[in-house]
Amino acid sequence: MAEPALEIVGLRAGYGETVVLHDVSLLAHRGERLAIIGRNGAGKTTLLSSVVGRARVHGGTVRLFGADIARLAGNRRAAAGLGLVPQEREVFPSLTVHENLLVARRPGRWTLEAVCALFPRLAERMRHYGNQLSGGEQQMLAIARALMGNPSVLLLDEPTEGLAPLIVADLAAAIERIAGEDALTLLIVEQNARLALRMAPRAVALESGAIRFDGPSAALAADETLLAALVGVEGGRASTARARKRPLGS
Amino acid sequence: MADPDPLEAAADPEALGRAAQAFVRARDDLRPADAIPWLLALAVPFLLSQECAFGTQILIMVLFALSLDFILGYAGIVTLGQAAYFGLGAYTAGLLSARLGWNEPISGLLAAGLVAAAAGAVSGWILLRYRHLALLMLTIAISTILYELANTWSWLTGGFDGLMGISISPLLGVFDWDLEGRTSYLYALVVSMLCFLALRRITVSPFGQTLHGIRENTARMRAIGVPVLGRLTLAYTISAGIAGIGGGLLAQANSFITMQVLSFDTSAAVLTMLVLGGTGRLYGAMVGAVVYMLAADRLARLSPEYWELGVGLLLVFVVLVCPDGLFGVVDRLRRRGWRWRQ
Amino acid sequence: MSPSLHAALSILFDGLGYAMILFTMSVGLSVTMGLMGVVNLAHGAFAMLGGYVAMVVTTRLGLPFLPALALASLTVLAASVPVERTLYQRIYRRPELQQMLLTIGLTMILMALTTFAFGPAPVSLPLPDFLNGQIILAGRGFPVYRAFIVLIGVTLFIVLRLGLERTMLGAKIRAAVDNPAMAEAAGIDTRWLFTLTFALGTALAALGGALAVNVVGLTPRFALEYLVVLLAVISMGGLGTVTGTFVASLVIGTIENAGRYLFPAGGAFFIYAAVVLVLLYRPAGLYGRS
Repeated sequence: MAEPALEIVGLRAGYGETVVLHDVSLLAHRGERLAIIGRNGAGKTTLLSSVVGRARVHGGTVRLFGADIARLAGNRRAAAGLGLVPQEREVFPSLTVHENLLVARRPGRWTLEAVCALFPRLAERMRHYGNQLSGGEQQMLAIARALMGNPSVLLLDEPTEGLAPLIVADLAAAIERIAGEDALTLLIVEQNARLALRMAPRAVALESGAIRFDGPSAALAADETLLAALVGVEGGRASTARARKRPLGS
Repeated sequence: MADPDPLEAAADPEALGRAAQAFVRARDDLRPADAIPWLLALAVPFLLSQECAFGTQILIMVLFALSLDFILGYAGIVTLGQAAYFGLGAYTAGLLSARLGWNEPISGLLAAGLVAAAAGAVSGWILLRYRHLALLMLTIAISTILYELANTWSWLTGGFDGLMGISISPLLGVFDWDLEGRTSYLYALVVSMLCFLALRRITVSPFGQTLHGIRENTARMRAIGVPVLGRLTLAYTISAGIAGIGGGLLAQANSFITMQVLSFDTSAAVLTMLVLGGTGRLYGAMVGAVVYMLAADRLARLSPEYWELGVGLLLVFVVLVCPDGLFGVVDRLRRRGWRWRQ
Repeated sequence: MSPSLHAALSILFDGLGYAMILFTMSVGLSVTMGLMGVVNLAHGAFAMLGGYVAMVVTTRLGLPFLPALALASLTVLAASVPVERTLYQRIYRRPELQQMLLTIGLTMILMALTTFAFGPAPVSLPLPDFLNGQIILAGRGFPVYRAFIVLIGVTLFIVLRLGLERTMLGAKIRAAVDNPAMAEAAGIDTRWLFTLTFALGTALAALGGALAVNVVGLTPRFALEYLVVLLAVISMGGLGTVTGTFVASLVIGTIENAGRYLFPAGGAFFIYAAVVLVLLYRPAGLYGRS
């Protein structure tokens, strides 16, 4: 039995001295697609940040294909197969679209041509600088850039945030295509719980730094009361009611 | 009298209030031990009277370091331009005497402090909107500009040769400035003690607490409505005023000052003293200044290069090994000793 | 050409020469500070060391000038790598204040050691014949050495700009200056980039220091005196930018020279006044990123 793509055991993490996640354990097998949902401040971004190395890990382990990556520098984790599409997109403003893609390039099926085929809009904007793109284009660039690294585990943090519904549909379709292609393990953090549950067959719900639900999305989608309790869903978007205090700058 | 146990008092709000007050008083009030450094300092003119002149220089540096600690250790503003205010104070006191013939020391000192404080208020109001390299460079630039002005207006300031012709009339009209420097020393001692007490009072006041808050998390302080720029400017003004008093003391005690008082070297030196002792606790500034001056004096007697090498090694050592300064080491030892006893 | 026009051109030309030296010395500091955020106040000391190595190599070993320049850069580069690995790597995550003090301490150590070895008096660096004398432009003479320095400076600017804009390595450096955390997540080894740019920057500082010997003179105190000017240049120009450093060097070089001609006593005043004005309106510098 091959080792799981991502294995998190007893994770305690946060920023500086603040602890946001208390004892989080999660297992993702190759090719799995997981949605991570929860209210603001629940710790979704912190979870991804801990895996990538941007948050401070106070305790617990994070294993990528069986290897402990806690001590690895950021770029080594990328080499080990981790890809990140961060919440703020974070395209490099001083680089063109073309350069943004090239600096992240690693060998694999995702080449420049492949990502351009996925996002034709980007192909038209190759010479534009990162900060000359619209929100939707930046999101596409962020995803394409992560793909250029040919990751085995791709982390997406709120990929549809702040985007028009039409673009959201495009992105969702693109993510479907990405997931369908090969044994790419996907973790998608989403504020839009309903969309998340549609995008991924498995859902993990975080609340106050701990996992409250880990199971089939269909089950969670069907249980309105549970969904409302976990995420405060009213017609799709998670509410900010009872949002837990977040460390500033997280 | 033992402090009332806060947990027991929680059931009774009045007792809780009293417990809180007792806690604050215990933290903030001066203890008998606080008098020790000043008593030791007081002993110098009687037991080590030949060191009075050097002792005065040390006291002036203590005052200078205290001023920097207030703005850096408490308010968290990193500046390499504190010499601007020290120098302004020095030249104010010096020029009052040398050019205007105003020789009364106490008023001269007050003038020095006020001029420096005014400069601090104006520059702080503008500069404290910036951070990081911009702020650092601006503080360096201000003191460098003043240095260059002092150089350009050498007809006024004496330029590189220094400002001569400072003569201070007897203190309070009675105490003559003796050759041994005892009067200077006691004068400097009283002034620095008063300034220390004032700073201490300010740091434990609510104003001082907001400074601490601003240092730790400026964004959060803004979010709860604290006028950050205003508070910082006030702190900067106070800090500049104290530095100015230090400079004024230098001019009056030595009857001679050079442009060095405005130089980058001087800002760097006082910063070294402060970090050596430990920031954010006033006593660190005192200890750091004393240790630095003593070490510098010893090393300089060997040669200027030994002094430079020594200070350089000291800085590297302190940053790598004990970045909290000497007081940080004391704290750590005390905590270890406490844990040991448990 | 009228005498006053010639005087003005001389000032500009001298200023240009001085500016190119400033550029050579400070471009490395701008990029490394923009890349890693480390406040490196020892940069001036590396420039100073470059001058001394060049001096030793020419006067004691009899090497010609140009190879001496190269050797000075390489020697200081080689020396900087272990210093970066042992000292600087420990202070990357430390507060600015500690970085400042450690590097000031390092500067003082290097200054003291240099004074022990060579004494505090100014040293000289003999120039080869082909760099002495004047070249004739439009009927008037300009110093060859200045022209040489300008040539080096401009070439350096072009090479660095091309390197940053056209190469993959340049793109990675720009990415890391933009956003170090994201660069890491995208697989860029920022630690290695820093070691590389630090080494290169230090080599250029050494080159600048060696060139500066015959323009402003060299003593161990150079390390601290010019540190303040270098900081002024990168504050005005911005961190992590070659163009910004170039422009700021031109501004400061010209002002310094003009200032020195017009107001011999307080020339530096105008430099710092200019720096203050720029910073008040553009705290990140002319070409910096906020």
